[in-house]
Amino acid sequence: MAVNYINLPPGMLERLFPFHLGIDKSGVVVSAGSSISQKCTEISGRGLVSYPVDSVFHCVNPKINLSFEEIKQNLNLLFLLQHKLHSCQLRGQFVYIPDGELLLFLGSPWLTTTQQLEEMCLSFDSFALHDATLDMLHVHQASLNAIEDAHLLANKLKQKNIKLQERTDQLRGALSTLERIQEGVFIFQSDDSRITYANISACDFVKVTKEDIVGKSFLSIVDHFLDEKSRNELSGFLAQCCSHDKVKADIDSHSTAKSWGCRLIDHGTEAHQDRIYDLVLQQVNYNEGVRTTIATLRDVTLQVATDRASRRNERMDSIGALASGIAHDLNNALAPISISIGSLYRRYPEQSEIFDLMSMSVQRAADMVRQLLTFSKGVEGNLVQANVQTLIDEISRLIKSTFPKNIDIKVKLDSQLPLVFADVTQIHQVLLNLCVNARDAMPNGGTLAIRAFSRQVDQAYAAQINSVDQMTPGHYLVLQVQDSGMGIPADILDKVFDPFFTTKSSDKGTGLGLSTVMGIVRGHKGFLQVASALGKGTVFTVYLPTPNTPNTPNTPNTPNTPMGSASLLKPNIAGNGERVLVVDDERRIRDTMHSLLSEFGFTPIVAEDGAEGLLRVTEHRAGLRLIITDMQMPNMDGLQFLSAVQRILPTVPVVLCSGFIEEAVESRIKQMNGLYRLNKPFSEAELIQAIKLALQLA
Amino acid sequence: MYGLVNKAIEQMVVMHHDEETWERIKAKAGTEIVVFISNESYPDELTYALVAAASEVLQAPTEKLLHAFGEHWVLHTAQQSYGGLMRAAGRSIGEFLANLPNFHARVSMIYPKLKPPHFECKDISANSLNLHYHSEREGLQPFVVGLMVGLGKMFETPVEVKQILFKNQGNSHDVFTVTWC
Repeated sequence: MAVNYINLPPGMLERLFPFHLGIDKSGVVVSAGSSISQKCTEISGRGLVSYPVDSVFHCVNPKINLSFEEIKQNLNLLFLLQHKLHSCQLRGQFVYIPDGELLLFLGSPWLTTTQQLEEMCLSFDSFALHDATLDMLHVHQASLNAIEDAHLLANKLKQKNIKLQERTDQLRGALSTLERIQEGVFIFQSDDSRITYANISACDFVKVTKEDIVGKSFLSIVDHFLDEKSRNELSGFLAQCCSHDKVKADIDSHSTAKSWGCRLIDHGTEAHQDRIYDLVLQQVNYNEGVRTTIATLRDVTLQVATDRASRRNERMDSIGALASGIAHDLNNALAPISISIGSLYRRYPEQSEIFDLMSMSVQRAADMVRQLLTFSKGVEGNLVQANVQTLIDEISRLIKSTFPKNIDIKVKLDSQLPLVFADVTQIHQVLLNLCVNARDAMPNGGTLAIRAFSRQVDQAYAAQINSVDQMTPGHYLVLQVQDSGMGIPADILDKVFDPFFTTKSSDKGTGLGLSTVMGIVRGHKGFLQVASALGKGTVFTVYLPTPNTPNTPNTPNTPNTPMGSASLLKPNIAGNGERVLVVDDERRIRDTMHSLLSEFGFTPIVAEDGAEGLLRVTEHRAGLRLIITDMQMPNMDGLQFLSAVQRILPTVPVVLCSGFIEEAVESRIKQMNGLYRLNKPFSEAELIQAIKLALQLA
Repeated sequence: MYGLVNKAIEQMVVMHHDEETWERIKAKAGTEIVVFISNESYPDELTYALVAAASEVLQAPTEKLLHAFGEHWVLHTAQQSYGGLMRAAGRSIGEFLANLPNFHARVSMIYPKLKPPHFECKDISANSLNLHYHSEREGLQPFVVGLMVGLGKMFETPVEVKQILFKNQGNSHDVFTVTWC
């Protein structure tokens, strides 16, 4: 019921204060706003009017009884009334209206959550427009939403932190790996080429600490390793990285718009320690607009050496095969001349000077052929247990007395050098050839050092050694000849062992010196290494296996034939018509031998290969006194022919003529009886000597 | 713009797609904000950028997105954040719309920086009214339509909304006729 106590226009109090209460002097509710009346109707069933106010509410604040007098005495206080039957609280103030002795409560429900709105079935329309209750609830709800946002933010940040930690762990792992790899890695921003990261290997390479390298220009860091061409190319690439245009690079054949590479050589601080690196730069885009360049540096020294050795071996094999063929043909070409010279001496003694010249020339040619064969096949010398100290002393004395005085010769030998199985003459030649080369490398003088020491070579060391042939582990005697001369350019270092390769003028060298050295060292199952630095000098290192090493060459049997030891004496042999079979595929050799044997009283029979030789053996088996045969022939070679002859005529002596015999064939020949070796090309005297020995010993 | 608006866009995207899609939209809009704070004020440009990025990423026209966003706002975002007040605002769509002007007036008084739109309800009848929409922001009319449709769904009352005056055609503001059963 709306009661107009204060002369307000009709309905105004109700509209402004829908939760008001009017209380008379006896404490009875005489008036109530519509909103509070509705709430209390639900509770009491008939509204509030005519109820004593203290029967419906009690006063939470102030702590007084809800009597007319007590309320009147506390009009300056904020009241909070609690409904006695449910949770509804009213918050407001009392005013005293003298006219009629009334107290008027003006207030609103006290709500702290929006849920209470629903619990009390209140709506926006329950409140006066000026009432701030809904605004307070809005703000309160907003603060709750803010707390929820804070929780959400905290959770999201926590998740992000977990992901970030995982990413950090991954990056830390990757970084740790990056720090341990052998490749050098530089990372720098493409825009200014300033280094932002370099791993340990990279810092070691440029010899700058990790602290100092950050912020430095990449180009300045690697500049002194670059030649002019690479420097220009790299500058171009870096400039292109700065550019936002994706211009196709034309700076190098293996460059693209985003990558570039070159090969660096670090000459190091000591001679012969050049290291080779492949430098590759690649531009990468992390995110849009942020571009980074990664430079990797890989030590390819071993790979380059391996590739080089492989190529060199292939070339050596080809050259060896070629040299072997040439030597064989040259032997056959020289043989008739060599054999005929003796006969010519006798027929034209007044021309002896010419024949002497011919003989010397043939001998020189034969020596060259032998060197060629030494290179291509190695040689089997007279290997004995040798102490190289004596040999080095001898070489040392020789070169000190003959080399220019502006060459300082230093010899350093370990006190206990191991013995090696070696042909002393050949090792002498090896050292002499190397010393002569060293001398020629120092036209203005310098230091020539000869060293000898022993070394245990393990698998790792063998892998690192840039030897001409792949080295095998074992114990070695090491001979070194080092000069301080001009050095050998890298591009020809591989070729120095090629036969006929020389940088000297034609009158100073045949180009067979180092190829002979290699042939001899190979023949001793040793290894040869060369290292050189331009302007610093060259070191040749020879590894000879000691007897403790598994691959030591076997002690050979002494050959049962004289090896070219016959002298050019007057022939002192006279045949008596004995039949001698000559088997050779070279017609000129057959003709020359036929002529010579006839001259000495023998009855020569000729055959052009093993098959025909066997026919002749069968035909003349009764009177055949001697067989002289070549080794390399078509259809049936010397070995097959001899094997057959051994079964038919085991007692007939054989002179075997050859330029070179393979190792496998050699071992089979050694098992045959009555066999005598004669190296091609041979002179008349050497042939006669061989025939005499064969006939005498038969 | 109210952070709750951006948050609502996020909720709608994540509800119909996934977190990864929302991260792509944010990246495209050029923001790294992790969580939008509901009552914080954000630049209007950011909200427009998010809507444009969503349109591009989701391959949907902006108008369609705004309409869907209006529905989502009523049915999910406002319900979650201010459910009690929403329900107290009216027991029917008519009551709710009648309280809408005062509701926004209260918000603008509580958060003076937010510049919420101003609504007026005129020509009110038992099942229709003309909703006058005043806003400094451009291009959000489809959002208002979506809001009305969302309210219809909330009160399970089919609603028809037709724009009868257009601000972009020279009128001082936009006017929609809202009709319900």
